[in-house]
Amino acid sequence: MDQLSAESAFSSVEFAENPEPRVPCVLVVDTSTSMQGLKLIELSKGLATYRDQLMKDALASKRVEVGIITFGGRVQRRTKFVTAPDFVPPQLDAIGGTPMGEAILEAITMVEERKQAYRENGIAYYRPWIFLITDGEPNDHWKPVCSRVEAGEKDKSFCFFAVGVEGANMEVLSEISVRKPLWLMGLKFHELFTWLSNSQQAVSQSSPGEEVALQDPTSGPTGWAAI
Amino acid sequence: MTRPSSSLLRQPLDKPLLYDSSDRVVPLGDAIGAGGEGTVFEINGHPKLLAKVYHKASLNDQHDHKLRTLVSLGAEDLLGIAAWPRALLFDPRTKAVRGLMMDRVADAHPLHELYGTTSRSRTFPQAQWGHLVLAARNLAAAFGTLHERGVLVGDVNQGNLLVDGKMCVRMIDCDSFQVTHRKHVFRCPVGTPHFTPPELQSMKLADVDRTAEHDAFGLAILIFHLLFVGRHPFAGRYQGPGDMTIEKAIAERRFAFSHNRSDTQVDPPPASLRLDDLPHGIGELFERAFRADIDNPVRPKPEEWIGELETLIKQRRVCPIEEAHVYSSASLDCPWCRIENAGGPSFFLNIGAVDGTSESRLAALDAQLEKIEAIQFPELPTLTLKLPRLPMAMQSAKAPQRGTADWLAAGWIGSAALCLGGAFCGPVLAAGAVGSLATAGMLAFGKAGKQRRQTLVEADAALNERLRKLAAGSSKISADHGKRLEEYDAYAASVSTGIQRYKADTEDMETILRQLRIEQKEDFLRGYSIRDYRRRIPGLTPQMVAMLDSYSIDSAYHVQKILLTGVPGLTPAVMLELQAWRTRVEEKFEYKAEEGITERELNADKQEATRRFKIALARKILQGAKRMRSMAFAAQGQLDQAIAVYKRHVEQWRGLAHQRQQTQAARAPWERKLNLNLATVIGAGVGAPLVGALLWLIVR
Ligand SMILES: Nc1ncnc2c1ncn2[C@@H]1O[C@H](COP(=O)(O)OP(=O)(O)OP(=O)(O)O)[C@@H](O)[C@H]1O
Ligand SMILES: [Mg+2]
Repeated sequence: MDQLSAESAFSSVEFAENPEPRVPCVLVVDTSTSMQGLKLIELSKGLATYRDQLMKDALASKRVEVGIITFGGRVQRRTKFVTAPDFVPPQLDAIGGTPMGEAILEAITMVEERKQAYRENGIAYYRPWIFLITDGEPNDHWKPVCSRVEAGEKDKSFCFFAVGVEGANMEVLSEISVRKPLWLMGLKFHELFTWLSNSQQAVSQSSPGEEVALQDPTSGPTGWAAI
Repeated sequence: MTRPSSSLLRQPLDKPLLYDSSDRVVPLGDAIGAGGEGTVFEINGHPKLLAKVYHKASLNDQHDHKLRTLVSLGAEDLLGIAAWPRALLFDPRTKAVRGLMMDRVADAHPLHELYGTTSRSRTFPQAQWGHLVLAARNLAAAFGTLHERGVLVGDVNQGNLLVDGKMCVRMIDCDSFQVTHRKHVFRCPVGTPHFTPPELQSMKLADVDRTAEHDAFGLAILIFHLLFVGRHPFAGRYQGPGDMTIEKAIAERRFAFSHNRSDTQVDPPPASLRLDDLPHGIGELFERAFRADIDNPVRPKPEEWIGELETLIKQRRVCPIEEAHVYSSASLDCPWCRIENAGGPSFFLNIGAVDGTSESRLAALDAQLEKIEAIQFPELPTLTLKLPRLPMAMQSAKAPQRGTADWLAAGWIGSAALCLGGAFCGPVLAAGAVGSLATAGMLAFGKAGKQRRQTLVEADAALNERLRKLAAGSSKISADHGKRLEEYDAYAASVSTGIQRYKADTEDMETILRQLRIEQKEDFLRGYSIRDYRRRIPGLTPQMVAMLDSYSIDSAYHVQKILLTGVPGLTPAVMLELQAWRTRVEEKFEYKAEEGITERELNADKQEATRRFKIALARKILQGAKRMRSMAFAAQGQLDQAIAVYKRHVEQWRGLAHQRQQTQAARAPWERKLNLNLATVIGAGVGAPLVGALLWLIVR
């Protein structure tokens, strides 16, 4: 007899109620001491923007799911996967070191678990996103993470994006990420999350498996990144 | 196909100056929507019309030609079900076609807002399953109208259909339809993969002439979404290895709800309707649509759907417990209750006559709870179950026929009298002795006497045997009934706890929730049997498990220190391991807000949370009452049946007993007494002469 994981057993209600195909996205957020102050304040506001933007689109609000992992001192799952109507941006407090490697592994696990729950509940899904936001460099074993991210990108199990905030070690980020890491200009978190929600809306209206050309985040009035 | 995000709308839009065909300015108003191809504007002064303006400043010849043809094909029946292009819009300078004018589909929403449970409760609060079936029927009718005119939708998807409060369906984005005019086919260059038939999956659609069979596939998918409240027919639990995308499942005809599970290798998803919950005819249509032969598909036509769906609408049923549950009369029980009882969501809510507030729902439930009359569990008819007694021997009215045995017995009486009288006269005594010995001997060993004795013995043996069986039968009936009563009582107790909780005040809610959490945890722990997890508990031997069993310690719930200490043969180390195991199991426990609310919600809005709690509870109570009623009903039936059998056996016994008594009554009373058994007869035969002889000795 099959083992039924708690994740899928208890989520069957939410999936039955809303069987739309899902676009899962894990935000892996640095909450180490260096993020204290304006950075975290702007980031928190950005999360609220993200939610509001998704809510404006009837289909995206049923399809895009966000989960949050924070790493500051220790790695924590702060928000399990929820669609925009159920998303309450968590209170973020800066504390401790930067266990980025462990956080990324946790994100990969979280994505895998979610995919399993989709399968058990007959829910179609798009390629999950893992979205890393950091202003530092890992203080744990991060080397093994590189091959995991590479493998995941290669067999299309997820897309990995890394965004460096002022102070980030872009060299390490480009070693971890297969895609070119993006450098956040100033504290344009609002623009970043607007871009994120727009891109995911576009994805959510395409069909799973289809490649969607994303808006270029580095140009135009709504651009927020540099390379 | 990709629809750009709504953010397009937030960017500044240039409103071009456009002319109609007679060079009058068409004043564009606010933009109300945007798509991949164009932006849709209101037209000032014409609230019933909209203008769609293409993003491209100049269209290619093919597109230009198609739009002109569409406008020329507009007919009343098409205009009734689609926002068909009524006129074109031109660039004032170049005279090139820039857009079109169409009817505004007012007060309508995309189809997914109707089949999506959350959006439905907001946008169509009155809609129940019957409404979804009706929308499906109207959808089929809209396809039918188009097909009659030779028009094909091509890009079937959930966004190009709008449905209004009356469940009437109209199509938008008509400029992408495929139309044929004077043998020229104007293709639909796009498609949505989740709605694209297997034979077109991964084809370049701009090169394909669509057929009605292709549309029929998309139509069936849409109807399925409506009937199965949002489920996609190809999204299920794939049993094979690897990932199964919807596109792949479609291409491989893996219809997730199919009866042909061995072919599809897909199980339907949990907490959803099943194909068997629908009338057989509809199930057949789905099978035909989704499992059709790819090389020569013959899928259901719109008319077929209309026929079956109309029958379904006529034969729909309302759940006796929750009137928001509407379902097909093809299913025996309410499938929505089944889903809810198994922990699934409430797809349809009873919003009462006026509004969807929990207060009005609660009032409606209150009224239903009042109606639960006291349910009677049948009583055991103890009198009927008493064992029967031998009936009185009835003297038959006419004088009985005397037989040999009777005469012999009479002869013995005479002889015995002679023996006694012979005390004074030797020869008389001798004659009496001879007579006594002879008659008794003949009675004892002769056929007549023997037969009479044997009949009695046999009759009594048979009667006793049957009586024993009757006694066993009667006690089985009582035992069975007792077991059913026990089950019923246990169930009734849980229902009455429910009623108590239902009646509790808002203030007591916290206690109740805490209790519920404890109960849920206990049940969870009971689910972990020690026997199943023996190997995970170091040092625990099968012998110990058997020993624990005999102390009724068989699940994680029973692993408690006080209980364990009494069990012989359990080492302290194993005891610790058992407790560690219980702790591990406990950690896995996750409280599921069973009645739909948690303490957190309770703190947020006590009144509202309590009402929601009560609504969920009331539904359970009503379910419970229904079950109690059916338990009582079943018990009565089984009892009646068993009693009838018992009574028949009693009657048979009575018949036999009566016969025995009749036979007895037919014997002469003195013969009955004398010929009681062999010993009596011989004793009497020998005894009479002996007594006579004794008396003779004394008297002499
Ligand atoms: N006749 C209509 N009545 C009401 N709303 C309409 C009508 N036509 C279009 N709309 C609104 O405008 C939006 C865009 O329209 P439409 O789908 O025709 O654009 P499109 O550019 O063809 O988009 P797509 O890329 O989806 O084909 C629709 O989603 C709908 O909300
Ligand atoms: Mg469109």
